[in-house]
Amino acid sequence: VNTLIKSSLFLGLFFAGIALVQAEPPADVRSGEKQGLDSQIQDLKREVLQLNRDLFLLEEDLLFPSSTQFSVFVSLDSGKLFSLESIQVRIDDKVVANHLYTEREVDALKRGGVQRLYMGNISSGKHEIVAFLSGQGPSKRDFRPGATLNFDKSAGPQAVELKINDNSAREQPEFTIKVWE
Amino acid sequence: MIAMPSFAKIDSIRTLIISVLLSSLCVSAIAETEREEEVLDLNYGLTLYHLFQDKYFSAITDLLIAKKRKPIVAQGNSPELLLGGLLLDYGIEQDASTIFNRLLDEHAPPAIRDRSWFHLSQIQYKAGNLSAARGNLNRIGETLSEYRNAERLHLLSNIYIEQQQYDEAMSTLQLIPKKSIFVAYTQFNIGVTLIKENRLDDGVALLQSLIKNEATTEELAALHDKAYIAIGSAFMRVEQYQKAAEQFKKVRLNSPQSDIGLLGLGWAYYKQSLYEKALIPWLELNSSLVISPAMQESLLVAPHTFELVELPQQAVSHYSKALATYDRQLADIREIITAINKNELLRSITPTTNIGEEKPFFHYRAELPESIATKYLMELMASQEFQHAIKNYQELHYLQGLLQHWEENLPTYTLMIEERRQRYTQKSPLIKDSAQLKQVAQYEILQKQFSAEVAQGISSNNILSLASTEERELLEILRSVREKLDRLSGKEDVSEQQKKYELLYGLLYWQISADAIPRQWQLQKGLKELGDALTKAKDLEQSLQQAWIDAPRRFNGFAAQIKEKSIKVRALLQQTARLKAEQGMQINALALTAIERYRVINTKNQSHATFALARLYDTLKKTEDK
Repeated sequence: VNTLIKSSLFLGLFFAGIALVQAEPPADVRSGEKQGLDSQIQDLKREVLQLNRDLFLLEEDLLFPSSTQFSVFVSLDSGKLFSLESIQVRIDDKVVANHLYTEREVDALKRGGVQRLYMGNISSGKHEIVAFLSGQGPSKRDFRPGATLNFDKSAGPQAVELKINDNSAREQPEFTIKVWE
Repeated sequence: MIAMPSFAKIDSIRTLIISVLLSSLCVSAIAETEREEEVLDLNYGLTLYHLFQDKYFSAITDLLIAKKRKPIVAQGNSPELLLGGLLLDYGIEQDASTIFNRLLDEHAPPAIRDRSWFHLSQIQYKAGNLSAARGNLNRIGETLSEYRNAERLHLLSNIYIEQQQYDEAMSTLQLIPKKSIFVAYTQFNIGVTLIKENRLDDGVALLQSLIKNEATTEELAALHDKAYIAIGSAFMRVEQYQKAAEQFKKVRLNSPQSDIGLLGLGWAYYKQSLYEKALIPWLELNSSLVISPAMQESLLVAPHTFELVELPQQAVSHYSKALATYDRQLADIREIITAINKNELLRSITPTTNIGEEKPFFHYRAELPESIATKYLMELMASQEFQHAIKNYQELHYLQGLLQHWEENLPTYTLMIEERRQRYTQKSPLIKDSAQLKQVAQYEILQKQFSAEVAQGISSNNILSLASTEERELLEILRSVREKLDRLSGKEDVSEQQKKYELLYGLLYWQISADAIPRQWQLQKGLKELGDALTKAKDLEQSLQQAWIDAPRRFNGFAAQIKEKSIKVRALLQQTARLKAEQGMQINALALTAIERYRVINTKNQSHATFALARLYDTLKKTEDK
């Protein structure tokens, strides 16, 4: 019995040794077969990425030709004075986008990300874009700012950026629309 | 050590596995991308939006699209560096490596070069090319962030460890800022290695300096637990059992290492012949809900110890309990094997997101399957190999969904092209004969006439040509008055009317001539605007006509592209399904191997317990007979 128990002890300590090694950073020791599978997966990922890119471009060319393409982007400065909850966008009095934000999305915006809220088609010439926001302003009060812009859609692809900035001097959020060519 | 409920313990183990994996094994190549630079290009901002939601596939796609459509130039080398980092994290190391090498060839600014060298060395380290990795880590300048630089030194010390240059590893450790988490990991790695290399005093001293610092996070607490076990095991090896017990005692009961701590503590007492004390941790371990080799071992050593302290009835009871537990576990194991073979494990790790919806990158690694096998697979779950396999499987599942999305959508696009083609055929004659299009040419003629008139008016100093419509009407009235006066002249006395006419004409002439310069300017401006509008209209007409001419070729181009991409989508879908099946088989094999290990230990322990119980009954019988 003692021999049995001694060998069991050895097993226990051996197990401990295995556990210790796991705290080291990846040395990535894998068998040839597993490496082969990994390498095939790596190749597949590369091919899917390329195909996905091509299909996105194809889709864009097909659905949103450059002459009529129009996009709406949203950016948030620091977001300290305004906690964004939702946005509605109307172009020529027609609702084209409604978005309810998750915490993750707001965080991504606060860190400098820019969201593409809408992509669609409009004709060249004069248009009006109106955006309504809702969220909480300073002192956690409900805040529903809005902005309007009359713009001339050019012959090429065009985008506008709905910018939400903190105006620390006025202690108020500011909401502007910038046109990108 | 403080006892806590076993369910809570399983949960904490789960959390710890996740936290340890996240912090020590999965340090992201782009993790430190923070709001450091102004976004000057919407597409770069869009990439960051996906990146900050850990949607790496989408972020890579954004950059690839921008690269092909309209390269992001306003952000310098940042997009390229970001793409390299994303590809590295996404597991496409070859492409990442190409990007970093290109950035180095292009003589990028020092900060970009340093980051490129760093990421290249990560790739080289992973590929086992230690010398190259070391070379690159050593040539990095001073532009890395404090966190990244600590990570660099940690990686460098690991290379020294693997190259058995322990003094260099120690010197590198001294360079890591004291408050960095990497100090603890480096101390741990060097300490454990030195113990393994029989440099017990050095190793223990290093691990003790690690645990001397307060464990401010769960991650550090877990590392401390591992360090206690390593020191305890080292003392056991040199038969310093009391010192070993002191270390094992410090392992927290809610730690993933608690089973080893309890087993080790029991053995440290046992070796000092403190059998009753040894029973306390082993009996605690007996009731653990998490199944581990240590727990299985405790089931056997506890009754054996009861025998030693001459409590045979207790020994019988615990051998019987051990046998019952082994039986139950073997039944569990059989069920689990059946469940794994029926792909239950794979189903439980398959993401529940909608088809083609990307899950945040780190979620792939963090989610543990809720399966009956979980309590047997804890150790396997924490292994990098298993996590990697799960991540691969889940990524393949996402790719499969994405390709299915395209497979479903592409026929719609084909239909769309066909409809456009039909509309084109129907409308073609109407467009050719469009009166509106012909109007542009007529307007152009008119514009030329106006220009000529204005030019002539200006050159001949014809002030009246600048008259407004109203003034022209008045001039017309005055002209007819003049005619009438001329007719009446000699027949009647019209001198009074003649004076009035001259006065009115003079006034009107004066009004026009006084305003002549602004009028000329206005007229020329109007003509220019008309000219511009006509040029624009002509351009539009031409581009419309060109588009109309090009339309059949464009339709054919789209159709051909869709056909070609559809073939590719189908081929990649097949390939994805095959690789997903292979990866699934590998996951099942890993799980079955882990379960089999328990089955073998269990069966062995079961026969030992059966034998010990029989022997004990025999002894008791003999005692009774006497």
